[in-house]
Amino acid sequence: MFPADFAYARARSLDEALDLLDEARAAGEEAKLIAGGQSLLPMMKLRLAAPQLLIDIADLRELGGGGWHGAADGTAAGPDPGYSIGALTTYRELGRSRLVNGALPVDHQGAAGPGGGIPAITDALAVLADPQVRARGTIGGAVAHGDPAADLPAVLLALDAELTIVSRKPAAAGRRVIALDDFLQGIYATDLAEDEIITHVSIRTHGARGSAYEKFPHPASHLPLAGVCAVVRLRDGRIEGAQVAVTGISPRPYRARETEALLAGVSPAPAILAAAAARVTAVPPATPTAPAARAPGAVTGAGSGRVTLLGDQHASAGYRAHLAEVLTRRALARAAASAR
Amino acid sequence: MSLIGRPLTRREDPPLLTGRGRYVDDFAPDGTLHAFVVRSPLAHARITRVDVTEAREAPGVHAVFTAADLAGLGAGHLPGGEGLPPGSLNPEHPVLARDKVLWAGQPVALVVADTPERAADAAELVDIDYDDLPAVTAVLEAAADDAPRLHDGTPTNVAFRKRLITGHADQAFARAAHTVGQRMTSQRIAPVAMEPRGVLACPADDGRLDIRLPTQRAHGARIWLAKILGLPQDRLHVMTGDVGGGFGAKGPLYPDQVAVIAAALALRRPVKWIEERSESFTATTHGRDQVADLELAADEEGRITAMRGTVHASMGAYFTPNGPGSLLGRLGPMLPQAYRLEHFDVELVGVFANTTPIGPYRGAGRPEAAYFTERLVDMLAREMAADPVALRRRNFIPATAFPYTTVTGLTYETGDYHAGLDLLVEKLAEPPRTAQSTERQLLSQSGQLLGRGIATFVEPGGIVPKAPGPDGTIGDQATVTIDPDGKVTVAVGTSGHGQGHETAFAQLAADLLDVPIDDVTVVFGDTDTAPFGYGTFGSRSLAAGGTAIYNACHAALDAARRVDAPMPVAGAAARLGGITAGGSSGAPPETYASGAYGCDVAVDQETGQVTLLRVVAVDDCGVIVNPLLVEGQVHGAVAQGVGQALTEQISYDENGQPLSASLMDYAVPFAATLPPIESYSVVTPSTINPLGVKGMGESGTIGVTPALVNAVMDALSGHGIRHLDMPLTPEKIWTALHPS
Repeated sequence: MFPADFAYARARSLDEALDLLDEARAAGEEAKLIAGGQSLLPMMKLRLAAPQLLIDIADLRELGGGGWHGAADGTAAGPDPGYSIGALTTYRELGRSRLVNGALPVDHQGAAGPGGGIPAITDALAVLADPQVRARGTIGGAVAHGDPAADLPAVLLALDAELTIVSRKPAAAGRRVIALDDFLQGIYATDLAEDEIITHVSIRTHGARGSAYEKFPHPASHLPLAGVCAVVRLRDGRIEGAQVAVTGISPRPYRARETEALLAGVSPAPAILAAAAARVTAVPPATPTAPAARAPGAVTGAGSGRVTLLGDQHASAGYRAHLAEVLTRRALARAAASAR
Repeated sequence: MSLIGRPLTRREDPPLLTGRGRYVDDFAPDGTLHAFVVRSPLAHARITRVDVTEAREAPGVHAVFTAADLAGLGAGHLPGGEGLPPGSLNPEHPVLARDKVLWAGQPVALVVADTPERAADAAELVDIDYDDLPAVTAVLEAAADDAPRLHDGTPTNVAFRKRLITGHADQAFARAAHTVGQRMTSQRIAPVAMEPRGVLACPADDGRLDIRLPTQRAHGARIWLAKILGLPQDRLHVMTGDVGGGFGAKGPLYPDQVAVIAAALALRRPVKWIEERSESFTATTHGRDQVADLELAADEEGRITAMRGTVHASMGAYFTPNGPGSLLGRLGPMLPQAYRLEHFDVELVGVFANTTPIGPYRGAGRPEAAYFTERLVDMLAREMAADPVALRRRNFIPATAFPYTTVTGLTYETGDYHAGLDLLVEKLAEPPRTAQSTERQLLSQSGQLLGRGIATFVEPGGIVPKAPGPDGTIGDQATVTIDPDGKVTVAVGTSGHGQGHETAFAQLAADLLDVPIDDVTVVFGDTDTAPFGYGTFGSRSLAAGGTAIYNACHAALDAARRVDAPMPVAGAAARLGGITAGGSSGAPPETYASGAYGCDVAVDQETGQVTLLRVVAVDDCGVIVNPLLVEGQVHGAVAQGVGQALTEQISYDENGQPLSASLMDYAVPFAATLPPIESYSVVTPSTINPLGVKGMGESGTIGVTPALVNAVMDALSGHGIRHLDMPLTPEKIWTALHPS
């Protein structure tokens, strides 16, 4: 397992990293950013990726830290601010953060789940890869890789994640914020341009206390054959809002918006949750407020009303869809229980 | 106090567990070059052109070898299959492919460079043109008359047929009150040793070649190498060093290893090659890959009277030496298992296919025989609405009947199958031994389908060739040297690779010689310092190597008695200026260990996921030298047997491209898959050897696989499901539960 030859540069600042990206582009070289390396290095060893230049961004303090209302990216606090997480935050740091362990309230107004924190993140980190990967892998890398079968993107998607992305483009174009749902495009395909770096990922609970992540692991890789994150906000015993995101079964993680719509305003009884879960692979018709699919070519099965499904020798497309339904039911039940 | 039977911890573990083991890749003499193997990307193709010009000119490259280059060096072909019936095909297996490639992964060229990276880079410059041919990978399809032919000039891919026939099976079936039959597969799986294969060949100043080779049979590798390279054996010095697991796959000598050794000879430089993990899934032998169509007949009371049918076994693209033997010597003859049937008619068919060659893999025919028979016995029990335990008891060879010659002509020397099954039933009736098992039981109480399965088995071990070895002696040899200072060196021709031989053999010698165990050093795996032997495979080392050590120790004791006064052996050695004595295993028949395994499972009806709740293992391996080593063998083998039952499978697409050539796709069991394993023993000493020992290396893979599949089928029985082929993946089970 030997990667092809490559050059290596360790950037000391975000500015230097952006310069290196620009220089490589001008020279017609393929450059890749490396942070934790837990996805990129295996691909290089298998020679599925052969960048000519690796730009190591592990030292960039500008990509660390985190806090309420996007303190790091400077946006103002609104009524429902995001919590900003530095892109270089490792899975392990995330798992040890106050955000997850509950010492910090999960929204700025002080609401928190019964155990505090965001249970779905805890769930995902407990079943995500192994301790070595969790020690090195970063949250920015998890989204930048565009892996169709990764755990964390489903959780981030259900938490309405937005990415802050910077580049050397002039003026306002040099710094943009994009919803993760718009960023993910297909198998290892994202909206990240060659000259861009993700600096922060921000998430929003909308005050929801309840959440859960359910995973059915691939027997060998332990990546999700199917994974479902549910975030549930209850009021007076009824579901006020629910977000459901699915990974592993489709070219990219997606939001199950028809399931979400079916859950609005209902009581979380098992039969009702099951009926909503049964529509987890459905694509609702487009409406002005809920576009059918933000990356239509990637997710929507053409005219089928169903998301495009992946299948291979480990699990057929139909079985993965079935698993998604079962896991949705289970995730919703746990999320609703923890929301009380 | 006797050392036999004491659970001494493994003396080899401290260095291995603290990174001080010495594996082949830990050696890098000055000037070592590194090889990279160029392999066929296609499963079946004609080679029309090989151009290595550009690769030879790449930076750091010292040489590139093709089949033509090796022929120029006088290298011959690999050994073919052994023990074949008359009329069998036995095609030549080239070191590097010449005209055709027959499986995706077959070596075609070898690049030797300064560094492994440069060798890998240059390998991409080797330019080979192929004419693609249709490929066939499934054994029954390969056996068909209209299948694409692998080997030029042969009329069929069927390499051999052999019918084992005793009594009048058809008449017995005509008379039978109950019959069951089933097509069953034992799917192709990969051994997946922790240490991949490799080799380091170093031309020495004295004109010899020092070869570091992680192998299970140092002397055997030397014999094969001498033949292939046309060199006298004494010019070859094979050293195994520490070996990180073999499971049968490090028994054969491989074409890539031979090419590297030939390159070292040609370049007069040390050359090293270490297999990549992905290569190990296409270039290291696979195991199993059989399809059985078998039937059992029984009378009104459920006494099994006959078995008949056919077993097709893939050999892969070429024979390995022991590939045919797993079918002919193990799978077929062991089908009667622990039962007294009188009529037997089974045809064994060996078939070439465009797949990685099949070699022995932990059990090598034994697990398959037990799986097929124990599945059929459970089906018979279901058919008769009988208790699977009672049905087995009714058919067991009774303890009073030993030595017992089976319907296939094997003589089981001792055993008490009732005692093993009784103990299993007793232990299964008790609560699990550990809290983790109890937790798993609780986890299963949420609407899951519960099942229990058992399986019993008989395991041959301790095989020794009857013909003399290259030095004219019969059997495995051992030498015991007692220095004047009382230090003892035991050298033996078996070749451990992770089993704990240093500990077990030291226990044995210290006990027999009555010396402190810390004074005993055990040596093996080096053709210069260890006497001749057949190596370690097929649960043979304690029975064969242990017997040789026993005889050598007694010869040393005899020598010590020549001293006038009775005294400890160390004192005699001091008086005599040292004692050296040899011993041999001779060539006794095989021993027959046995066991009874039980599994509890829960099946998630919504997903088809199987949770293994409990494994209880009862083994009779005769006299136990070290119970800790026995339990360790059970644990490792159970893990591998569970892997075959639930998750492991080598698969190919319709063009013969491997679909499971990495640990991202090939599913070995994880620690969390396994519950704590409850291991128990019954002991019926063997009468074959002076130690009373039987084989122990494979029992877990033999017992747990059918017990686990029987348990899952028990869980699914309420849904009209009679049989599913392994691996029992969630999707397969869910689909069976929800036929649409």
